[in-house]
Amino acid sequence: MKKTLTLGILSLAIHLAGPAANAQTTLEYPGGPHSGISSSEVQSLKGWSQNAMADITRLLNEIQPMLDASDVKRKLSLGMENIAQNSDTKAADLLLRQAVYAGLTVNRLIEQESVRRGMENTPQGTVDQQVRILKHSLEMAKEYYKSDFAYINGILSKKDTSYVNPKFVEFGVRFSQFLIKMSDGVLDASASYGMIRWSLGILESYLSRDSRNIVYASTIKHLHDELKQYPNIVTGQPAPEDIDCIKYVRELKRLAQETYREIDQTTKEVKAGT
Amino acid sequence: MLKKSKFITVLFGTLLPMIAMAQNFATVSGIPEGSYKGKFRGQDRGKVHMMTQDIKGCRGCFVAVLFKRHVGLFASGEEQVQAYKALPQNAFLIDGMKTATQYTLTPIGVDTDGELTTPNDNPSLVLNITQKIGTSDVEFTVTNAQSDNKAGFQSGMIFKGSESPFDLDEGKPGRYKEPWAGKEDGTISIIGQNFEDGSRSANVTWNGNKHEQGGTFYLKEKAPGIFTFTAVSYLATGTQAQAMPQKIVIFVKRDGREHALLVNPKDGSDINELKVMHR
Repeated sequence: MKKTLTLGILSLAIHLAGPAANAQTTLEYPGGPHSGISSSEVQSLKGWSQNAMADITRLLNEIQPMLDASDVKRKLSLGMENIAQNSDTKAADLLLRQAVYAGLTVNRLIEQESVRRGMENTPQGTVDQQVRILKHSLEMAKEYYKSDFAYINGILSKKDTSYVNPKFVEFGVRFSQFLIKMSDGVLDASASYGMIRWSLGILESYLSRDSRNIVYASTIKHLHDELKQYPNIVTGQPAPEDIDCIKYVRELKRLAQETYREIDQTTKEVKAGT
Repeated sequence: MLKKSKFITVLFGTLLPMIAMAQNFATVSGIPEGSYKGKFRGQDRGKVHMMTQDIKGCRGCFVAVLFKRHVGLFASGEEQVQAYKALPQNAFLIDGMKTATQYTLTPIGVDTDGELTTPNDNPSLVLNITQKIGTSDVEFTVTNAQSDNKAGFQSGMIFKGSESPFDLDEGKPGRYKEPWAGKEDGTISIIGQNFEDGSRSANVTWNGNKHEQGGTFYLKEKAPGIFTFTAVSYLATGTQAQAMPQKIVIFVKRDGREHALLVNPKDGSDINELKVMHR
């Protein structure tokens, strides 16, 4: 009975998460955590991820001697767009692809909010934060390449395309924590809020995609219900006023801390077999 | 050799405006951009100055530099500067306009990448607007937030509408030097502003030949009026930026004369003070 109820809550949460993620006017880079993978795509993913890894390494090396943050930002975002476009959406189950996708989405959000405010340039220091976000996204992409490779080999050896990348939750928590830290230095209230709101939304999606999603059902439901109160700028909902953004940032930071604690506790319990 | 003066801490803040329910509250900002002179309450003594600059990407937010001064300007007196991130604590809906009369101020630091951050999210001070007349005259108090954040100022303060003689400055190109330094020591030369990212950036040569931080630096504005240094290294593959996160730089002007304050946000007593020499 309890398991049936839990599954019901989980499927409701996943179902409800769908429309927001597929909204029309969106800053979200294509190929989010909602895509799937087919057996015919598995082999090509292996080759793509190897090429993407080489591109990422080259890109990170190329930007080292550059001083002007605007140049670095341009170079990184163009390079990442190329990597993402070459992948189409079939690589959505790879965390390397997810990291690139997340970096590009947040970069778009920050630029979009500056444009919306009619500002010629982003606020002081914001370009540096954009560079950090793009760079860190690439570094995370490199880091998760190994686990992606193990995942692909896992599908091939098990001959089972329902096999799920086991690192989605860990990746989601880490990226969300990183964006919350970065949001402190983004001196645009709606961009800062939008980063945190979006990161918690994709964390919910990553929890839902995890092979052990039943154990996270309560956290997914809680996160989903709470996030409904906050407009998601990335998926096209209108930005709140700045004064509300500041209030929401405080509330979402609290929600994030609660969520991380719950995930950590659940993960430990699963490992301990309780 | 650059000399350190006692007690300097840098405060960095963003303040969101609050407009109370009184009569002449036509303007949006609760704290207009400017410089305010106040005094401490309780155990702490002396005058305190608060300089504010609006943040364009956050309506009503601003950066605040709090400056405590007992004796001479940037000389041997007991001084303290601290930067805060100040945000509205609550908001009211008055005549269709959301406004605030209370702000939280959270000290800002520099992280390991040389970027500004708030090391502790909890604010250390609370600012309350007590009276506002017209568009610029504002009276406010600052009290301890009673949180676990003990960085920077902890004492209460009261500002009764007096204007401070100090202003935040934009860091114009020129040669800045510690008044008591030797001929070749303790200078920074801001050469130019040649980057396109919207910040006022500059190449800095610090001729502190006895100082471990001598060399070429890249000076960049990270928030209105708040700059950080980045060391530049020259390699076969080109120039390369390296974070040097220890100091933030604030340019302050009094009577038309610019000063550069190099402040360690982790240690309020660690500050270098330089006056502009010529440009």
